[in-house]
Amino acid sequence: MNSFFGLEIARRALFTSQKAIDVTGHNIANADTKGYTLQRVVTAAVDPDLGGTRFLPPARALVGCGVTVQNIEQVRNAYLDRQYRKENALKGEWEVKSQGLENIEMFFDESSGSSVTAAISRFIASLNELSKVPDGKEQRTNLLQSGLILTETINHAYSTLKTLQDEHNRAIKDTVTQINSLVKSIASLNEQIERFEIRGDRANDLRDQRNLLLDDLSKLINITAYENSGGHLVIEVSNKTMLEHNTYDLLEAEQAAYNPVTGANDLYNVVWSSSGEPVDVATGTFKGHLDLRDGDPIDNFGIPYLIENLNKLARTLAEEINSIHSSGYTLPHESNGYTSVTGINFFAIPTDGSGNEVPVTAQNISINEEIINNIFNIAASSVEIDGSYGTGNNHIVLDLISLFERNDIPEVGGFNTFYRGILAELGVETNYAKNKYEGQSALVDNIDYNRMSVSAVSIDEELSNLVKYQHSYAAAARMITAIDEALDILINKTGLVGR
Amino acid sequence: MRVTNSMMMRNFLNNLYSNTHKIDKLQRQLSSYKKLNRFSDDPMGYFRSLELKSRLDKIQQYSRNINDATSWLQQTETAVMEMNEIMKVIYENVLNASADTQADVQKNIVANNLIQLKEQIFQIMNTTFGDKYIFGGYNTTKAPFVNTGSEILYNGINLISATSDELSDIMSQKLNYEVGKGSYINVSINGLQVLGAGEDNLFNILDELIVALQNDEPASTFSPYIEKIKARQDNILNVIAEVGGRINRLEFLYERYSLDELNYETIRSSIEDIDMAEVVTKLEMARSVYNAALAVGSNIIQPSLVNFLW
Repeated sequence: MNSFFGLEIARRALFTSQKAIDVTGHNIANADTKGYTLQRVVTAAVDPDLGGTRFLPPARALVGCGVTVQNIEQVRNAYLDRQYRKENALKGEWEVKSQGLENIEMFFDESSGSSVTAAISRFIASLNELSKVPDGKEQRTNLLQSGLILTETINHAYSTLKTLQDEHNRAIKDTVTQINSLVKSIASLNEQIERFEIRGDRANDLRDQRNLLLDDLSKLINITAYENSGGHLVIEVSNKTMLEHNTYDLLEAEQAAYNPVTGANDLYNVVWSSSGEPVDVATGTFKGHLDLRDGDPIDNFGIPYLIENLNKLARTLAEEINSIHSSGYTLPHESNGYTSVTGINFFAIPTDGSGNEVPVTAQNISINEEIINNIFNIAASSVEIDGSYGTGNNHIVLDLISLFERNDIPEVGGFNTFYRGILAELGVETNYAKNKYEGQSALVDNIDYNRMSVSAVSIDEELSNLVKYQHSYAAAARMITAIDEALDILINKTGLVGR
Repeated sequence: MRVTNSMMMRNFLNNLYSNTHKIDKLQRQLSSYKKLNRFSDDPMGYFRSLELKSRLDKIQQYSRNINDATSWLQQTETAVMEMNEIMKVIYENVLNASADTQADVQKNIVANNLIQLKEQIFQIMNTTFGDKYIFGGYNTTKAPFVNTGSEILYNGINLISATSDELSDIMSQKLNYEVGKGSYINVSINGLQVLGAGEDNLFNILDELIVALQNDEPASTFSPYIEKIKARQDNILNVIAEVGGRINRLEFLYERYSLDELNYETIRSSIEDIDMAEVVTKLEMARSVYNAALAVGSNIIQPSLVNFLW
């Protein structure tokens, strides 16, 4: 056996301790780095050296060759990562939904005087005043004003919702850009990791970066990420491979999807750039924006559903009021040549560019020009006003008032109850989305908490490790001193007999 | 479980946020005096409060309509009461004229009295409420009764020669105010309801009487008129009773709505408004919890093994 073998063992121990101290330092330095995973030195005892002899040495008591650093590994739990990414997508979806719905809710604030309900109330009050003084100029002007406020309030509600829909549409395009850039970054990290690890090392810090990007990506869209048998990272979206090592398929947003609100194909449609096939988005912020933008049926609450209901309200309001109003007779006045005519609509019948009639919507509802230009064209009387006898006839106004008390109007039931119904649905949905988001958030936090418990740096632990490695180092150094002293005896003090 | 520094920080921050969130919500409630600031806070409660608000709006509108209708009808009542007084005077005058002992001169005085009274009736029947004529049916802008000298017109129609169609059209003219869901009150008392139509309308009776008095007709001529006048008088008493009845109904409704308004207001307040004492107490509690969390935070964050080694 080699005389200097003990020195070799001690040297390895020194190097290992040093490595461990370095890693501890790295851990402490990165205690606050986002996405940093705790690293540990993996050491192993080295097998006894057989000295290259062809035969077993005579002595059976073989000593091992000390310690060696096998690897620097990350303390990370892949199961928690998978769970985190799965739940994070749902968190993203509900975060977008709860925020989006809260935004809508804010615009529909009923406590303010500018709400649709307040405008309807005002309109009814003006009708009541007119019913008492059907030939009053102020009462007529007041009704016209209330009508204008009502139509403008409905128009405003529409444009607010439309703007929000546009925002979600843009957000979808932004999300596509974000997803693509994340996928590209991950692919280039994959290459770097491979180049690094080909030497047998672990690219821990690059892997941390990649995990962080995967976490970000998981919030945007539903992904499954795993390493295949070749050690290459694979990302799938709804069972379609999006990335494998350094090859990837990007998303594309093309303005081609049908918009139920405008009736045009002006929404972004998201497809795979390789095949042009639509992307199956199951969850994530992507899904949140999609649902809010497109959600039409009741189980998938979204902006088009609200607009559709608002349209229904505007359409029936205009139809019902017009059908009563147009059966009434106007008040003879100097401005209309002292004639009492019938058949005048209260709300304008909208037309398209080529003059064809189109249905009334929340966007285009407005007061008939004839009434805006001359308030005496408001028809309060149920019979023609002959001369100026009969100016007190208020039957049409009373019919209009009772219209707002009816609960059997086709499609809507009652105007007030219908609108309140929309608000209640919005409230329930917002409440649901908020609760869902809070629950999902707590779940993701909990998983992240568990992940931290495994992977995050504990300063106290690192410091106690530091003390441990320091002592190991000192002990290994002491080993060298001991062997040195032994050799000193052998070399300098042996064989001096008789000198 | 291995507890790391970042976990403690995360936990601490989470708790701090949830505390500040609670304080924010309570402060929002205090400053707005409302429990419900968003409808997602309590969708069903919000829905109910909206419903109550619209019901309150309606009740207030009905109350306003009732007030206006009552004023109109009170004006009518005053006018019809005056008519009643005049009828009494006419009745006495005609009774006098029908007595055999009356000399020609006195008949002339009675005739002159009647001419005066007729003029007075004319004015009463053209009474306005504000600038609206109350006895004209739909016609509220022009004086309903017009004396052309040769004939008296009501809304342009000669009362004696009026066809039954014209009359029934006039009688059907109602000025309805809505005073409840689908419930209306007619504020209009038609002039013809008071005066009668056809040969027996009050103006015609008076005209005939005046002519007869001026012609010094014998006393027996007047006795049928006594009956006619009596009939008109009864008619006017009926109208007074009807107006009184309508006013009573309005007063009854008004009381009921005042009570309803109070009740709905109470319910709405219990849904929407905060209990001041409760919210202030909760806020104080949340603040002290927040302070405690901050104090704990300083204990968590500061020390580590670093403070104790070497």
